[in-house]
Amino acid sequence: MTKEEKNPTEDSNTDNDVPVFTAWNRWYALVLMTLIVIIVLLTIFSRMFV
Amino acid sequence: MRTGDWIVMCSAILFVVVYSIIKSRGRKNIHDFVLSGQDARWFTVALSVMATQASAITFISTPGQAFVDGMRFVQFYFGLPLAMIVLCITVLPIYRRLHVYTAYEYLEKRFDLKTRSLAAMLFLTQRSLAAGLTIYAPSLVLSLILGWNISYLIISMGCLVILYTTFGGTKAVSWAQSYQILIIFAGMFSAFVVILMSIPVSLSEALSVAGVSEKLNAITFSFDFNNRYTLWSGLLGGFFLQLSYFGTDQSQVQRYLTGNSLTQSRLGLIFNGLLKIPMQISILFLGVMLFVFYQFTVPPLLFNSSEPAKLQGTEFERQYQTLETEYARTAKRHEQTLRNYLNQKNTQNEVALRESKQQLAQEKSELANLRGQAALVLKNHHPHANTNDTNYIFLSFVITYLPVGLVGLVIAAILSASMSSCSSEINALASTGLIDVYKRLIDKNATEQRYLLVTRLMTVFWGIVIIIFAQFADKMGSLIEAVNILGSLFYGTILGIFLTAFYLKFVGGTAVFFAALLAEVIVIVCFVFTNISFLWYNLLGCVFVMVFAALFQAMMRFKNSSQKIS
Repeated sequence: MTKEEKNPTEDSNTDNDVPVFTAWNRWYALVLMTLIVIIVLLTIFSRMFV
Repeated sequence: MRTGDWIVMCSAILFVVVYSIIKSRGRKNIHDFVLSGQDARWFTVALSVMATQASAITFISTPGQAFVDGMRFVQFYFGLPLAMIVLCITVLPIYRRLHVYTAYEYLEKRFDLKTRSLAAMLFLTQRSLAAGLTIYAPSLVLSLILGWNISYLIISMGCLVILYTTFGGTKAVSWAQSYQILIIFAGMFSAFVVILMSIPVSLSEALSVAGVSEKLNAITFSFDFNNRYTLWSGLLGGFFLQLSYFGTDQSQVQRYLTGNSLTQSRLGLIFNGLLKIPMQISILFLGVMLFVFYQFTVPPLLFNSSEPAKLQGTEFERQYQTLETEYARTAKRHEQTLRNYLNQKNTQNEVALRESKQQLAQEKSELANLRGQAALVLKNHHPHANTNDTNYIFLSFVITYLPVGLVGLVIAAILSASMSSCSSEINALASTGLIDVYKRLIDKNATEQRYLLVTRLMTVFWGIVIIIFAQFADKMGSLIEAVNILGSLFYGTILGIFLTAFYLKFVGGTAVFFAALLAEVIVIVCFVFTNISFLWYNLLGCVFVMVFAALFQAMMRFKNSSQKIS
């Protein structure tokens, strides 16, 4: 049985594997940064070979 | 296909089918069958989510899309990472906490039965239509290569998918997807390497050719609402489409609910957010390189060779052959102009470069004109001739230029992609049919064995329904666009219902039910009577539902309070 099944109302960020809220914020920031970097690189790339 | 190709293709497909059936034996109850016992780790969740979204259409149609329209289609996916973050923070914890089997169960807990049933019905309609396209695409491949009847192929493919999905449920789908995605990556990577090796100029020159032909137009900052793919329609419209698809479409919800904890489900979605855009860029870039290859090799006048073959022995055959000769001559001249352009680029001769660009543009329009005339000849012979060959471009290259063995691998990759997403869809349709229709409305107190039997019967039923829809898929133009247009007609409304549930706490079931009906009618009217790009329907449908729901709720309160006063 997983932890959340034992206590369904418990805050999700106390899960075993990634215990603190800031760890998730870092993941979300990584996803956002990757998106921004991709858009910037694609913009440069699409104008480089015109 | 040669013997080597058959061996590679059949071994890959049969291994996946048999392996998934063996690994998924012993499903005893609907928790096992629908949610795979919730024992998956994050990488299984991530692979399963990616394999469900990336159907055969992605691999057949996307390179063709890049060939015709450049890389701007990538903007369609920009909303996906944002949607993953919102899902991880808001929707996923709610589903996990409530221990739901389907997304629509939540709606009854929040609103009422009729809203749950409406959302489930919209899903069943939209998904069964889209699943028809999913199964049509690989059948199209085989019909082109082997000259078989496409209807029989659709039936054969459908039966294979129905077999392992009915036998092993979600577990079989997940096990199969883990291997299917490996076959897909291997097949596409091999094709990409062969294309790069076949281009007779250096990579930087190839990029220059793509650039001057406007195929590297990945980002468009225009605010034009009629422009289908711009940065803004991708970020905003795409965000709502992806949020709706991943947050409310049971074929995806079911995938990430199989995670063995909230953490594993979240990590699965985050990795999907990180990998999806690079994957699409790779496939589109493959299409662009294919375009460059055909600038130095005379392409067929029409990539779908089956249509010109029908002209044989008719009065139109000669006209078509004349056009083919003219097209080949113009393509050769175009190649020479391109080579001159590349030489001038190396010598930095600005005046000559400008002249070459003008000449390239003129030849491009001549080539397009000849293709238009060829399409007209085909239409004159047969008014319903299929002259849209976007979906045939990549496959035409595969069967003509790939070495023995690799053709089989690429075909196996395309079949795997189709089977993976189609099995998820059938699995989700059956689960929704069981949980939201049969178990909720027909028989609440049946035994687990009976529910299991009903789910398996529903899997077979939905498999047959999508096989029937697939028979009509060839009238829908570019397949990848058709799927997304179809999704956009319904997703906005479904998302609007869910966002109202999450964020407009004062709205009740009756208000949101009628708001959803009205919003769906408006979206369909917009689709039929306006030219608004389809990505905006997701935003419009969603906003309409939320605004109307709030208005209706306010009106109902006002009416109630007036009655109390009087």
